[in-house]
Amino acid sequence: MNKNSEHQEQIHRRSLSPFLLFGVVLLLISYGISVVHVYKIQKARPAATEDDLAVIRLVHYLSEKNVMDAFNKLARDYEKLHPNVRVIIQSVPKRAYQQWLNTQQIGGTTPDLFQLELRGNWTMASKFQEVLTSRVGEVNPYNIGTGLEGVPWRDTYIDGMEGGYFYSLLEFYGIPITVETARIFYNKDLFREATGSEAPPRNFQHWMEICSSIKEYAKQQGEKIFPVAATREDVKQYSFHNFYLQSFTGGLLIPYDVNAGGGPTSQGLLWGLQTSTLDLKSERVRAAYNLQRDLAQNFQPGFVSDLADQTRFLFVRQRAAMVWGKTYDFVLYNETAKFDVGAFQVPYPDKNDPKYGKYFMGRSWEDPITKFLFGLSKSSLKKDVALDFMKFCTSLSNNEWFCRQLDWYPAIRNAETKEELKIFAPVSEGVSSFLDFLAMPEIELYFDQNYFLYLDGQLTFDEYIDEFIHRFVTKGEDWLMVQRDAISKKEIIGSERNLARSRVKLLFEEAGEMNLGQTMGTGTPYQLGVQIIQAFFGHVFTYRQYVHTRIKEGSYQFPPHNLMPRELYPIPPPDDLLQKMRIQKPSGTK
Amino acid sequence: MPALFKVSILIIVSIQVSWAALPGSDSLDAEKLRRQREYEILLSERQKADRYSDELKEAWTAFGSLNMAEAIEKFEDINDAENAGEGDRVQALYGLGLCYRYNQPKEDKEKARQYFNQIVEEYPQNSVAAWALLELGIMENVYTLEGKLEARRRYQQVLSSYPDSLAIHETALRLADTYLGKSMHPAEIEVGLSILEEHIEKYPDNPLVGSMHYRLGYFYFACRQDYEKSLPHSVANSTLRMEDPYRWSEDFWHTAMNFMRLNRVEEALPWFEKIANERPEAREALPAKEMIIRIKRYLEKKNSKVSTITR
Repeated sequence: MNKNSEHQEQIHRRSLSPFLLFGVVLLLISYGISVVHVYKIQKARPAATEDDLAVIRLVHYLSEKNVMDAFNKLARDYEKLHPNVRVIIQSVPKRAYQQWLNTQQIGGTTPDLFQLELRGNWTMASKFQEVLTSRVGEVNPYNIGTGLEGVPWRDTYIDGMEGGYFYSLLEFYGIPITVETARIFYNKDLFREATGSEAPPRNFQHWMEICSSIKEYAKQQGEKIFPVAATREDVKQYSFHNFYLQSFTGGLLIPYDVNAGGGPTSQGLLWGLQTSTLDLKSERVRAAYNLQRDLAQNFQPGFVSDLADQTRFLFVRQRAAMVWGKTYDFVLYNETAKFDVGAFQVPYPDKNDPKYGKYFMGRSWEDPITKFLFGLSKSSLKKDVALDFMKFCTSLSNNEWFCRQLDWYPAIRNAETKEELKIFAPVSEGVSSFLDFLAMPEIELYFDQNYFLYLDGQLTFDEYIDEFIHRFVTKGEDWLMVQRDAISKKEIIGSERNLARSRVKLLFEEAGEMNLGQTMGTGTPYQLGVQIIQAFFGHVFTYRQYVHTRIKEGSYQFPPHNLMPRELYPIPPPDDLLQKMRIQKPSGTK
Repeated sequence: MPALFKVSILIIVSIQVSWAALPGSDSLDAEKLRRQREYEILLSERQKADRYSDELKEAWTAFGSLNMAEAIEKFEDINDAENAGEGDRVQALYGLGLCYRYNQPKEDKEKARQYFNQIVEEYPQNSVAAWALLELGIMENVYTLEGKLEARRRYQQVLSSYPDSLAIHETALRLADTYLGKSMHPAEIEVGLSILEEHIEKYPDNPLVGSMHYRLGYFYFACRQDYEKSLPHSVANSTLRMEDPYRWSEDFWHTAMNFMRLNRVEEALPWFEKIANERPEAREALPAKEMIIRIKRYLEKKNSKVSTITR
């Protein structure tokens, strides 16, 4: 038998294989079942012809069942109101979401509504998302009969829908659903057993007493229970560190806020350090750091290398009495923990605290901005329906219901929330003009490498802060005066382009509508665009470079304190500062 | 300079008087009327296409979506059409200029210049010509001396050749910026400040007057530390209110601090109160509330000292 006929016989034998036959039959049966199943579903639907059936898709990246259930419920309720609409809710795992979305966008198959990972991603937004500016000014019809009846959609949000406004594009691109804040979760049962009360701490001092009681309780029980489970991220700049540093130094930088913008200013900090007029080794700053070292004594050993999942695990397994978390963790702990869970705001020392009270200036300000945004796809064939569905989801009653299901904090004004969730309301009263250390990569790196050594006692405060000042002064100038401006110069092209888009609407009818109040405020997008260019790229460049050059020359004097009465400063400058501020030349300049 | 100072005083007095004279709802009406007037001015030069309205709409939609290749193709088709009128062609040329300018990262400034220049040369009587000149100025790199001088030349051309154009307001801001932001020389800075001051004096109701007050107020405050001169502009900017409401509290704070730095603490009080009342969720709200308490305490103390002395 030659090779060719052998091969043919092999093919013949394979084609007659009973396994193969069985497979084909199975496939046919499955196909038949599917056809019957699809037919049944089709039949069960209310009569709607293909022509008048609008199908919209909403995709998000949260995989929790309750999120899916809540969205599905809203979808079914909406379908009841609008029998000619089908709403499909889909979840794509977060890890794959952005890649998946990019593929859909490039392929022109983007879902009608999709969750946005980043607020203000202008490249993606202007390419793939519908501008919502004129639409968010419409009244939400689903608020009829409520206190928000007749109110423009964006004004029904607690932040005026700022969360959905993309500054660099001068337009609204996102529809927010919730508000997110950071709080400390605690085990009420453990609190009761260790302290005799399940009440949260009244202030920082009380918090430290509770931590001591928990340590004592663990010792008595012979168990390993840590007062607070923390990760490196919880302790770093955007968490405990900033909360306390800000609350101790609020108002400190007013003399260095030469532009009187009112906000924190790392620029002012640089000038203060360069002119040796700002003392970072003052009692106040020292106290803010000491407090954090006190607090760190209550974290689990080796917290620096622990991740969020590990701290959640410690908390749920009752190995830690408290854990730092965000609003969306509330439902997780409520569902998984076998104990009563409570939450409280970061405790601050009150004025009577013997150690830290005199340094406390006020709470840290929390931006009450709405999040969990959805964009409307430019390629959607049912834009009006999709947007109407989002209006439905964010009506007062539905946002209230939706957030209640998920234990989220609602984004819509007057929406009621569970009693235990009220603690997550943003604290919009807080200090400003505080020390803002960490606005540059070099400092973040230093912080990452050395702050934990300080907390651990391997570095003294003086050692830590001396090197910090050295780095801030040497590297800060390059970052703040050169690199940051170079980045901004690159960004200006985007703002100029957006202004040009508005400008052509002044000139040509075909370029599109130009209305009052279309974007922010009561003017036109053109006026807003000019203002952004003038404010951010005009004045901000100007004054920083101007003042910095004068400071280097020794010819700039910080605001004259002989004019503004000293007692009106939140933290009055030391008596000798006025003289010191009349600098000749900062150290190290030629 | 004294003349400019008088003008500043005039601005502040006229704004304060006109606003103070109006009770709550009337001031809202006044704000609406002002906005409506500005809106009418802004749309006064708007022009229509002659024959290619739908095609131009499509082209602008593509431009707005950053689909520059598609937009260029559509604008070119209109520009090349034999029966295209001036209204079509001017619009297509302008669109082509913008597409080549903002086709990031593959911008082609030379081509963009070519299209804007074509408008200026072929349709100098068309109102769009002034805007094309403005675009030519904006395109220059003002961080180089050559670019700065060329930008200034273009802006001056707008102001001198098209004094009645709506484009002069933005042009004045842009021209001033080439002096204020891009030079440390006192004489140059003086020129920049004068451009804006004179423009406000000549066109006090122009639709960009808020941005002009902003530049002057903040520049005098932070750079010159001339708090007397910054004050009228700061008050005007805060009274007119910037377009973005999220900025209002920052501007109110700036105005309040302007009064504080002049030791006119009583006059600072209403601006701090404005933050606390109108923007209670702003970052400046708590500091403003605390400042109000300190000021009141300070004034009480001051007044009690005065009354003791008087007695």
